[in-house]
Amino acid sequence: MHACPLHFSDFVAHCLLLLFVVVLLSIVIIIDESTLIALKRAKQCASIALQDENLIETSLEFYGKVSQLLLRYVGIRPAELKATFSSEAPWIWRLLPDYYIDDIWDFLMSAAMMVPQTLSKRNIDDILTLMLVVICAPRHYIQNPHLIAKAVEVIHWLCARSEHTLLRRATEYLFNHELAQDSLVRALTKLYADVETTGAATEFYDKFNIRYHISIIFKYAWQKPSFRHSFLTTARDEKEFIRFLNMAINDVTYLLDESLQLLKKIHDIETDIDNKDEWEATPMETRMTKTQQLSQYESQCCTYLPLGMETLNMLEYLSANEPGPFCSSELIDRLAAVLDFNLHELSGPNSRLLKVKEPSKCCFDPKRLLEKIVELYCNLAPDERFAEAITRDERSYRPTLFKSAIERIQNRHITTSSRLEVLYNLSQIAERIAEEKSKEEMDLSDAPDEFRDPLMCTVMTDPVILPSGVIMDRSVIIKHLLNSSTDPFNRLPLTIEQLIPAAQLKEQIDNWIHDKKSRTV
Amino acid sequence: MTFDLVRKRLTKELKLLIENPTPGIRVVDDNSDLRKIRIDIEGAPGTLYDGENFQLLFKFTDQYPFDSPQVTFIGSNIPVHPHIYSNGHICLSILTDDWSPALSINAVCLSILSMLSSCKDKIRPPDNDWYVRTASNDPKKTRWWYHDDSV
Repeated sequence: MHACPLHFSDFVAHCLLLLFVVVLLSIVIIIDESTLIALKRAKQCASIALQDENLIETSLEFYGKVSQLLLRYVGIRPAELKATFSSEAPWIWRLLPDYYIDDIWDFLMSAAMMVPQTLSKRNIDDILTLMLVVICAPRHYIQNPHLIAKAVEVIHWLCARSEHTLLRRATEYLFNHELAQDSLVRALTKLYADVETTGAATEFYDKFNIRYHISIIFKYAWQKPSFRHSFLTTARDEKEFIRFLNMAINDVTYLLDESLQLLKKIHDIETDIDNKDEWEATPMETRMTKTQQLSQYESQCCTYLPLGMETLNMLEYLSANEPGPFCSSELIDRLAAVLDFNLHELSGPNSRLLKVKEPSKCCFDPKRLLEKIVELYCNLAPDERFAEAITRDERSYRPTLFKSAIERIQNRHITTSSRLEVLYNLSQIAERIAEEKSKEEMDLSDAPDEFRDPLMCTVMTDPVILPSGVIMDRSVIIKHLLNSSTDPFNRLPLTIEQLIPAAQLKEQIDNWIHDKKSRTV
Repeated sequence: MTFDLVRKRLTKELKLLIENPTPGIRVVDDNSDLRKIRIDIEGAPGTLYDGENFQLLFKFTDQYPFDSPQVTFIGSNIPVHPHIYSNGHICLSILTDDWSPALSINAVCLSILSMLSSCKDKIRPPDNDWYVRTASNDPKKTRWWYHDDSV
């Protein structure tokens, strides 16, 4: 990027920061009172001048014009609501420095926070349209993911405050926009998966922020009937949607796992403190570190749990609508595993280890969490593949898992009786499948090595040839491609389209299994 | 993915390791659990670690081999090396970012052995004390910054 000229929004921020620092310093150094008063007065004057409605409004108007110009460069006339993107971005658009856009986002965000009433005017419509264009445009139009993430943050901010009358007009405009209805959901599901790797050193934590923003936008959009269709069509484009769900399931698994572990640690420390005699006897230093850890764990829990809940909630309403993609072979086993595990932790014998004194301090609402998990079970229950996946989950699935969970849920009135019935039926089906499976299990242990997947050593059911010549089972390589689009054997880029079915080998394997079956029968 | 499948893969890896052992890498007998596997490695002859014995602990999740194993040095003898912290954590890119499911226990051990063999100075990482005090038990939660490929 080039060296930036002075930006208005930066200038405002700097002024405020400078004043703030000066006031702080003056308090620390304890300069005499009259200077302090003078400084305070200066700060107030600056705030009043900078937050002046007229100033903000004219600036917004200016940025509106800038947006209009930028939109024209992309090829969208302000009156037109439909955007068509070509395979190559217009040259003039490509020449623009990032801060042209970055600046607008910054200013809009600070205006929204400081003087929200300025956003109720029509003059920001072009800015909002530009925001949608940046999010929905193909990647070759906007290469800096930061610009997209920031636009998403602004929209999330608006969605989270949609009940605010002054901001309602802007939000309504955004979500009634044809471009938003057309492609916002699709663009955001793609972004959700893409932020897994941003290249920044902080990507591991960045992605949670961006995904949280997206989940808030989805929650808002979901309430709008006009958006249901858009969610449906996005879900039908299975490849992208499965990638998105894969990331969401990864996050739920990680976040809930972390949170529950933290809750256990909090429980342990609280038990230690309750044990008065022993606690008094422990050295002062140990006690201090433990109380420090306690508050540290609590605040960590308060970042992980709400994020996990929000993601779980998103999976819940999306699956209620369109359970199909959730039951695809790449996802269903992991989804069943994460649900079983959390059901077990929250309602099994270990759940007492999660008892903490002030659940609200850790943002922990076990009832709601359990309710969401039950909802997800019920949404997926109609699909036969789900019950089967539950039985494959070796880590937490036992027939007793559902028995004790149902009892507990009933006692605490966590969900409706019809939901409980669905859950009960599901547990019965799973139990029956597990029984049948153990009877039917065929011994394939003498299969030759070339029939086995090189990574998992299982007998392949759908062998495919990689460009490197290696033959793998389709389900295994697809599972790997969800994490990373590379050939595991040489790290070269690899996509699903490049896999070629190994028809001949498949026939050999099928014949071999068939022979074996007929011999055993 | 359940651990059942992981077990199948690990059994095969262990079988290969025991049947065609690589010099300096030895499977310690009791690995019945398979979620945790202990491996003994021996410093290569002619290097700074010649004759020294070390223990590695591999921990596997249900996501193995799609997810890398957690690998740490355990026991009383943690090698003194610029990329190995005194709590046993190892700064090695194939254990996190550069992991590939085509790698294996054997491949990880070989990488660690070669990392030891190319060492010229037996010193701890410069930030050892700070890291050991603040690190999580799980080295995979550390955001490693791989700076130096020479050792």
